[in-house]
Amino acid sequence: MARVEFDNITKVFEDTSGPIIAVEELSLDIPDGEFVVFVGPSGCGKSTTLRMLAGLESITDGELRLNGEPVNNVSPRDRDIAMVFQSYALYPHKTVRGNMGYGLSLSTDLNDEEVDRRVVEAAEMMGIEDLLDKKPGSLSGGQQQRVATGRAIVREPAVFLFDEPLSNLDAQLRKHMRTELSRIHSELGITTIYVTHDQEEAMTMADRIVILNDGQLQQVGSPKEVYYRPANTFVADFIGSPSMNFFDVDLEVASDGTGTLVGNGFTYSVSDSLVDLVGGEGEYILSVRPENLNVDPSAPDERSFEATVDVVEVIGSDNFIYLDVAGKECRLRAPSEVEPEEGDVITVSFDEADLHLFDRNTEEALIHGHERAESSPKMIESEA
Amino acid sequence: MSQETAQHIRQKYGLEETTLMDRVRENWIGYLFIVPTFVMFTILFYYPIVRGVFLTFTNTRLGEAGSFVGLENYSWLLTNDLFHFAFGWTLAFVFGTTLLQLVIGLVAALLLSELRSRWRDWTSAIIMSPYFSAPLAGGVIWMWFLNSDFGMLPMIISDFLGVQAPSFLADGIWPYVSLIVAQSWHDYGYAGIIYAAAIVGIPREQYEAAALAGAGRLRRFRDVTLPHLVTPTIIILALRTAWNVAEFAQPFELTGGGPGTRTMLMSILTYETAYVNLQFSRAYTLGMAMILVSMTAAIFYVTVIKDEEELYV
Repeated sequence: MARVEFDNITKVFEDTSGPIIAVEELSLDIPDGEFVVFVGPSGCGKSTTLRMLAGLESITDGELRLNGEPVNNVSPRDRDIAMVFQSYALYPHKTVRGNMGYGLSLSTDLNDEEVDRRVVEAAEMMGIEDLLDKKPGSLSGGQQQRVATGRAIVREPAVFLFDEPLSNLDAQLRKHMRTELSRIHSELGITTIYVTHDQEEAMTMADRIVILNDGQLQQVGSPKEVYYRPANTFVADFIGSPSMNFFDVDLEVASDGTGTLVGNGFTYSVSDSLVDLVGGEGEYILSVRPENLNVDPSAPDERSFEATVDVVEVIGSDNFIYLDVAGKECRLRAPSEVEPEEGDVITVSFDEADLHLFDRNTEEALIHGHERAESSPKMIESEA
Repeated sequence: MSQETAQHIRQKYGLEETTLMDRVRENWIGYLFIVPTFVMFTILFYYPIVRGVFLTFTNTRLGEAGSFVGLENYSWLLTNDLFHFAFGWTLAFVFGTTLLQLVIGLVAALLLSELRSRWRDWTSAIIMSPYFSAPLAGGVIWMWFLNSDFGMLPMIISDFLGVQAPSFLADGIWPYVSLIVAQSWHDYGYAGIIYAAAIVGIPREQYEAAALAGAGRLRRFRDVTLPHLVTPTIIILALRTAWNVAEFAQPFELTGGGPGTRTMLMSILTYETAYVNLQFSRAYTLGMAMILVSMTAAIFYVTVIKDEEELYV
């Protein structure tokens, strides 16, 4: 049980080509028992952060605290942290029992019987009690994953670390293990930090998601928060599948005060309240999620645009329609009964409540139109 | 698959059982490619072996054909005191050098693995260089090093310690020690190269997992590194044993089996029997004894390696 605090943590790697900043001034407070997922593209610094927490990587600057105690210079073995590696890192010459009991017999003074009892307990929890006397080499990838997780939980550490633990499993098993890991977390209540590049994994498992890019913290929030209220275009693009549509637009305000977003290939008139919130004319990035775009032939002209159908992907429950809007790709997620032909020109509209506006220079969020968004930055009142 | 189902499948799809001729017809180009190798091996390898075995039953001398003498050469061998001595000393020599090569090679590989990668290539080339030097050159180096009249080591001992150094190539136990040390120096690089490759291949995560589990440095070496070195060790043992049994050039240069016959290895004895005494058939018989030693070791290692495969299942 532990609270984890990152206080202005920086990691600089010295390479032959010079210093490289892997993590820059990361500050984050993780309360005891929380399930936090670090997500971001490869090379964003998420694994480095995890490894610093484990003590496998030194910390260049800043302070790392476990339960309020600085641990920058504490060796990995004294941090009471268990980690599950992407490659599982099982000891090939030890049986499953030996693998799971190794940490217990080294770091505690439990007798062999007690160690074995806890190993069997953890094995039952992971459903691998039949495999205890086998060697890792004779297990499938999924079984090895369970052993690796079991090896971590048997120690009942203060913090669990998972470094892309499901990446080597097939899609179906991955989804299954996802639920299982969530179940284990709710059973044990141990602070868990989980690193992945898969935003879907992050959304389904996390209490809070930490999004990193280029070593910098982009946003921290609940899955809903980062989905409905992305802090910048990077988060907006990274979270959600298929990813969000972005259009460069200019807001033009007519003499009577009505605002229109003018982009390449479309115009979209917006409400007065939105104009007020944005604060007048300017250059913005308009973005709308594919699932918020509708194919609607009867939509009013000023609130819709025309697009040519490029490709239709049938996935069963929905259709993903890839559109061409004045040379730019636009993704639309439609119910399965909407299935236009390739080359068709369709009318696409969206609700003002579903749009997001970002500053074109800073790429920071200005407005989240969504009614489910709860607080600032600004929110459009649903219109009468 | 039972005979019946095989028959059934063939019948269903109208297949014929393939004969040897079918396979030759289908893969004739492949066979064509191995013919030259096969012919050369037969002429230069298989035939001499068979011929050599045959020679041990004759009294052939260099330059004159002998006649069939049955097991006379073998009974000569078994009753020959010098052979008994050479056999025992060869076993000790092989055991000593192989073990020493293994240990020094492991230490060298471990030290190399600790180096930064940009230093590693050059350092390993330097550390491994004895292995790439000609055995005769190695013999010369050790001669210059150990010789009582002009060698460096006796000089250092007498100049700095003020004691008369023993004659490293003649006195008491020293020639045995010298030969084993010199041979280990020459060949530890082989073990080093194989160990270094094995150590590089050990996944880093296993060390990290062990460190998180509470294992210190020595413990990690014991629980992570060593288990990964079992297979390489057996491979090195098998090959080095065979080579060390046949080792000739460096010991021959250093002591030539002497003083007298006190450091007579089987390889040197074979040489002397063949080219000094010109008794070719007896030399071949000695060779058979050397093969016997190598084969016994090889069979032992193969058995061990079979058990070792079960280590990971």
